[in-house]
Amino acid sequence: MSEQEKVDIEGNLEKLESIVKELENEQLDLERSIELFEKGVKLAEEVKGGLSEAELRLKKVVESSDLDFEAEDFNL
Amino acid sequence: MNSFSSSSSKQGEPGTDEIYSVSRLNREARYLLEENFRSLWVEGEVSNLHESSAGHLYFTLKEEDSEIDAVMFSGDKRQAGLKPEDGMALIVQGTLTVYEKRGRYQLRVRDLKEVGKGRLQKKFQQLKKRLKEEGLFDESQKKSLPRYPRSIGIITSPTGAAVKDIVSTIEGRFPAVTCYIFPVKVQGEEAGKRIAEAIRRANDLRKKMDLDLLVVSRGGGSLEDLWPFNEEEVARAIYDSDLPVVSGVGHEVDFTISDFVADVRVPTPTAAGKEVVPDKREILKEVELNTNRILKSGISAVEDRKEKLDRLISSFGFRIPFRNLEDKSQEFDELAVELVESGPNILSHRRDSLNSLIDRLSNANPTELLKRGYSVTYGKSGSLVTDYRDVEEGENLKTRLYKGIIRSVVTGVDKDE
Repeated sequence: MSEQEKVDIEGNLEKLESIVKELENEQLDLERSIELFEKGVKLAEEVKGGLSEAELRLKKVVESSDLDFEAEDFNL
Repeated sequence: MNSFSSSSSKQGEPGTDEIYSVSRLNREARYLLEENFRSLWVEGEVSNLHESSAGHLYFTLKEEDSEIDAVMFSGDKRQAGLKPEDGMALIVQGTLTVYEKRGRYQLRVRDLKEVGKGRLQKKFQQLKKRLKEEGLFDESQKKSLPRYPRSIGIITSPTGAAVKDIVSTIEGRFPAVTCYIFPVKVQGEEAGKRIAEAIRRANDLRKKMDLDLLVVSRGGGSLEDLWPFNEEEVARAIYDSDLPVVSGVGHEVDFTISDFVADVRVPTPTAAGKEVVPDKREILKEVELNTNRILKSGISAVEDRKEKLDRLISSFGFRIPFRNLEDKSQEFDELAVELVESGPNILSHRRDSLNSLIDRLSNANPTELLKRGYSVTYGKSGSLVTDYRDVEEGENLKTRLYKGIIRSVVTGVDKDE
């Protein structure tokens, strides 16, 4: 899983929260409501998918200096 | 004063009376010591304890780099309320004497009581007091942990149980992270030094590794085993760390200096895993709650419009058939009933899996309208077409049906049907 995807779990949660707030706090026309509704459901699915598909990456630092390091895959 | 110094003479040949026999020397030394140390209290740690066949106890009383032989005769042993054991920290009461046969000076112990847990315990208390006074444990210095870390540095033995506990706990809760193990010895000589180095190194590399926090940890063991985590160098490395540090050393009952200095102390390696990442089940629950709120707002949006429509119909006062409007009204009724019925149901099953919730949401969403034959038309740039003025002749349209889409071209527009 890439850095970008990882960040998205947090980002999607924030977006979802703001969609809920917009839906609840503002007088929206129906089109906008539907749009937000669909977006919200999609985000919820993305978060769920992101979490269930995520795989932990485990590395062991085998060599390091104060500037760089080498790590290898590690299994428990 | 005594026979040692009173008979001192010039350098050279001694007189006959100045030559001590070994036994006399030992006897005089014994008198001297017993006279001057008739009854005293000594604090130290018991080691090399053994019991003779006659029931006397022999042991060494020691502190960090000094020791003295001690003996407790069976009579005194019976009188004392406590039997010494190896490793026990004691205050003993007795007499300083010489065992003449061996010319060895020793403590004759008459009574004893236990103090603390020995030399290490004392050292621990002293360092704790000193670092506390220096402000290393101040709450104001503690950093908070990020809620969604991306990368976690774990400083522990790569072969111990602790690393397994930490990593598998993290994996079960929030697998969307990278864990870097910094392998170190966690007990014995040099371990403290290595742990401190790893903490400093992780800080050097925190940008490169994208690290968000550090865990220092090991499983349970004796005070000696846990000792590296009580060393000043480790304490200072934790204090100087720019990355927040979570310390999980030993079991619930074990407190180490690193626990006090760390930003967060947890009782065990497993607890460290729990502390550093959120639980995906909690996140999913939060998502579910938000989805419920979206649904609720969807219901009220439809209900609002149904009311408006009702008012509209009655205000018109039409008695003639108005099929279109009636149909629409009925559609809204049905949709609203469906939403209202499914809504509370969903709310009462908040613990249902998100999966089924999403399924139900999909049923309640506008797709349902499409199923009934309504369609949605998008113009150029994908904008919704709701007005004949939205489109021009020749424009390409995309119409979304319940199943599939239709692409079409505008051949003409009219204001009215």
